[in-house]
Order: sequence, then structure tokens, then C-alpha cells
Amino acid sequence: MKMAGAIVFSIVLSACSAAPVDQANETLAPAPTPTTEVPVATLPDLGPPAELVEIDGWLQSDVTSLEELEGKVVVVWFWTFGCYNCKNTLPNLKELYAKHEGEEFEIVGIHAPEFDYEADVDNIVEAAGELGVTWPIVLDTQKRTFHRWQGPRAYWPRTYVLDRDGTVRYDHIGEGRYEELNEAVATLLG
Amino acid sequence: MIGAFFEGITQSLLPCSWILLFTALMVGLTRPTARVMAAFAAASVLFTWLAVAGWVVVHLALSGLLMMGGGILWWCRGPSTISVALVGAGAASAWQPCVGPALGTVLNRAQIDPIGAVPGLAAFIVGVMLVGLAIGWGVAKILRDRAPELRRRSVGIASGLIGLSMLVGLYSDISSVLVSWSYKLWA
Repeated sequence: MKMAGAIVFSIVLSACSAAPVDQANETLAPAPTPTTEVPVATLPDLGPPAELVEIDGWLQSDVTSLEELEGKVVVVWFWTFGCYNCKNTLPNLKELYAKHEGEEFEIVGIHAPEFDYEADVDNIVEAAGELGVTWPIVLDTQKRTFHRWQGPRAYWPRTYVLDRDGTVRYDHIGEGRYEELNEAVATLLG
Repeated sequence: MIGAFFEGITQSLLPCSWILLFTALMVGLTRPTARVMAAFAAASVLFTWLAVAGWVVVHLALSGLLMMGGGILWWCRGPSTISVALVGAGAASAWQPCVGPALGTVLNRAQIDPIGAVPGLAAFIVGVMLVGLAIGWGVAKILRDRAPELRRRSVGIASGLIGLSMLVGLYSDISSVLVSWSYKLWA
């Protein structure tokens, strides 16, 4: 027990003595709000997106592929409706969707279920209604797309932004950094 | 890092974290020595980190073998450093995380600086495990340390069965049932 206590104590202690740069990156506080727009050139070119693999269809959309969305700035959001952290990102996404309504902008939610009951389409439709998810949803029941995009160790939520040419320009794992995402979208929309 | 530690504590009761919480609870239930607990934590952190850094791709079947091996050893000889390390490694490599802001910062960093992400990741995992260990210890205390042999063997069997479910592809189904139960319990 003493050793366990020592481990916890050393973690707390090292947190207190961490370099300021590290602390800035690892606090719970949201990223500082930039006062000016990010130049497009500063958003990295992360290459073409992976394909949508063995999906089970789209909900809330006439679109059937990401290629059809070229010309638009697209937020690709990996989620599952039972994921607490995914739900926490929803207020910002809804705000973003409303803010850029009528512009060349779209959000695509790729629903990759963690548990079996999250794979049921009726449950997904019901949850989308309750959560206010109004944008197109891709059904990735087998999680093939989830892993094709993210690799073997994949995360909920994960957010990518594609520019008008369909190139990935932003990638973020987990909650937070909302201002960064919003700025990236605004910048790419020009 | 302190943020990751506290996020580990708060995220420990989410369905995504069940495999880590459950194994920590089992370890706590047998009231192991500090050395055994340290081995459990170290193996869990190491395997999570290897997977997060992308240096090791552990198939679920291998996670199952690790857990089964640990479970069998546990059943036979109790919670030794080797058995808990195997169980911890199996659970950590099977874990598919939901990501809050602090863990998100750690994982984003791991993409470009895997070594630099170690302290934050360790803090998160220890946070999750502390809750499980505390619950396990609490239950053992309520039982007034009765039937240690039964607890020891039960934990070994539970670990072995979880490992077997990973091997034969039933892990997802079992997880679903457990999560559904937990939802009903909370509702």
C-alpha cells in the first residue's frame, strides 16, 4: 500500500513541478481563443482522407459518399451515441453547424458503435433525434471505416476537417480545443 | 498531468472504461501487496502506451490470451506479480477509450511525441485504477476478509473467462450485456 501511495504521490508531485509548456498543453482549460483568423497556410496538409469502408449506408442525407461533398469544407466526426465524451462535443458542433448554415459547409457524423445496442439503426435514429444531431450520419456498424481512418487503436470522439479539395487539414482526438476547430473551419471557408 | 489523473477518476465509471475498472476491482478484491499492485499498474500503463504510440498492434485474441494466462495463474497461485501483470496487460491492450479533454491532450501529443505522453497516460490509467482498487478493497473490507480462497479463485475464473470471451469473439457481446445492466442499474 505504501508503494501505491508513493506512486500517486509522485504523480501529483511531478504534475506540480512540470514545465510550464507541458502544463499549458495538459490542463483541462480550453485552448485560448485566437483573436485573429488562422492563415490557411498554417493548417497542415494531412493528405487525402481514407475511404469509407463497408459502411451500412447514410442517414439524414441524400449524399452517399464524401467525394460528393468536394467543394465544401467538411467536418468528419467519429462518434457513437452512448459515448459521454462525444455528447460533450455536441454543443459546439451544433453551434458550428448553425453558424455556417447556407455556406459550403457540412458535418458528417460517422457512427461507429462500441456496444451492440449502439449498432441498432432504430436506436441510432432515436438517439440522433434526442441529441439534436441533424447532419448526415454514416453507419459504420462493423467499424471498418473507424479503423481505416484511425488505425488499430481508434478513439471516440475524433474530429477531422477536410478542405474544399477533400484534403485532411485538421485532426483532433477527444473533447476540447473547440476554438481551434472553429477557427480551422472558418479559415478554410475563407 | 494532474488533469489527466482526475479525468481518469471521473471517467472510470463510464462504460468505455469498464475493462480497466473491472480488472482493478478484481485486483483490489484480493487485497494484494503493494508490489503486486505496482506490477499491475506498470503492465497496464506499458501496454496502453505501446498501443497508443502505435508501436505494438495487439489483436484482441492476444489480449484474451494474456488475460486467460493471468487468470489461470491467479486461480492456481493467487495474485502474484506475474498473474496481475498479465491481466493488466490484457485489459489495457483491449481497452478502446472514449476521450475527454485531458486524455485528448495526451493522445494528441502521443501522435508526435510518444515518450512525452507517458506521464499523462500513466496519470490517467492510475486515476481509473484507483477507483477500481478502492471499490475492490472496500468490498473485501465489508466481507471482513472472509473466504479469501473463494475470492482468489473467483477472480482467477473471472479473468480467465473474460480472456476466453476475447479469444472466441464474445467479448463485445458480454460488454454490451454488462453495459446494458449498468444502465438499468443507474436508471
